[in-house]
Formats: sequence, C-alpha cells, structure tokens
Amino acid sequence: MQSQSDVFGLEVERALGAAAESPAPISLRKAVLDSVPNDGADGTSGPPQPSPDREA
Amino acid sequence: MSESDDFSGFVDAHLDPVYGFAAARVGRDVADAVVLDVFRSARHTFDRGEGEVLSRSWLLTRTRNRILAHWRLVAERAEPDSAVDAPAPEVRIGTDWNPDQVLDALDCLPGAERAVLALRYLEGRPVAEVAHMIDRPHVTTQQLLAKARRAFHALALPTAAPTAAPV
Repeated sequence: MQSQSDVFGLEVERALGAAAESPAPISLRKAVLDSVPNDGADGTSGPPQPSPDREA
Repeated sequence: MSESDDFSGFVDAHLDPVYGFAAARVGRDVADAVVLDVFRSARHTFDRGEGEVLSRSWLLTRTRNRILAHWRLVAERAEPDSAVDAPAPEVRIGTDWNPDQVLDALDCLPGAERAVLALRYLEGRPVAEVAHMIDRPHVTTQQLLAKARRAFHALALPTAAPTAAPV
C-alpha cells in the first residue's frame, strides 16, 4: 500500500509532466525570432563570435 | 528557402518542447530567460554556418546546463530551511493537471522548493543526490521536499486550502 508521501510524489510527478507540455508564450516566440545572437560567452555555443566587421 | 526561414522553422519545431522542459523545472519567468538565451546561442551557431549541429538534443543539453546553474544559485542563496508540518491537503488521484494551473503553482513556490521538486520528480534524482546538490543535510532535504509537495498541492489544487501556501 502506498504511503501518502508516495501518492503526493506520484501526483507531483504527473503534474510536472503536464507542465512540461505547456507551449511557449507568443511573446517568447517573437523574442526568439527577433533576437540577436549571443556571443557564446557561456562556452556552450563555441568560441566568442568574431566581429562582424572582420570579414568585410 | 532563405536562411532566416530555416531558422524560423527550427524555432517552430523545437521552441514549445524546450520551453515546456524549462518551465516545468524553473517556472515561467526563469524559463523565458533561459530559453531565449539558448535560442540566441542557436542563432549564433546557425549564423556561423554550423546549423547542421543544431538539434533538439543540442537545445535541451544547453537548457539543462543553464537550469542546473540556476538551481546551484538558488541553493546558495536560500536560507537554511526548517521543517514545517503544514497539514496535508487532500490528495486527488488521477487529477487531470492543467499545465497553466501547474505553472501558476510553481511560480508561487520559493526557488528552493521548486528546485527540489524538479530535481526529485522530474529529474528522478534520489534524495541523497538532491541534498548534495542543494548542499543541505539529508533530513533537511527530506523536510524541504515534504514542505514543497504540500505547498504545491495546496496551490495547484483548487480545493486545497490556500493558507497552506508559502509566502
């Protein structure tokens, strides 16, 4: 038999799973599409981008 | 198709699941910032002509890294918590959870409580590992989890007593 804590946990798991189905707000979609690329300073997207002037 | 259209298609294909992944873990406000930052990185990669490396996995890995960094920050800033034996709200089994309702509840929880719920129930990490990640004793982490579960239920279930919600 499940304890109340187990039941809570299962329901929290289900609820959070439902939250993960939440669509992105329109404002975020617009911000993403309008966004200027970041410079990769966090190291997750490769080295910092060279100056756009470099190629010209 | 122009490059801009290509990136737009990439956003259309992946934004919702990546946002949902983040929002369920850190709430809407932080998710907005995290997801925007990750897609900016993607745009940067795309503009470098390396769009072939971009994928759902690429996005989720970077989203997850940022979320982990956020949780570490939350844990560092959180005051040591004491156990609160709030009365347990009624648990309704098989509730059809509404995503907005759940996110509303998550947004009302303190960061540390949101973090432990996500670490335990979305990431599936054992309590000992959660305790290590938030730098709290095992027992304190169990108490924080119990408090977070109760507060979450009180907030997320319309029939639960709102007074059980944390300030």
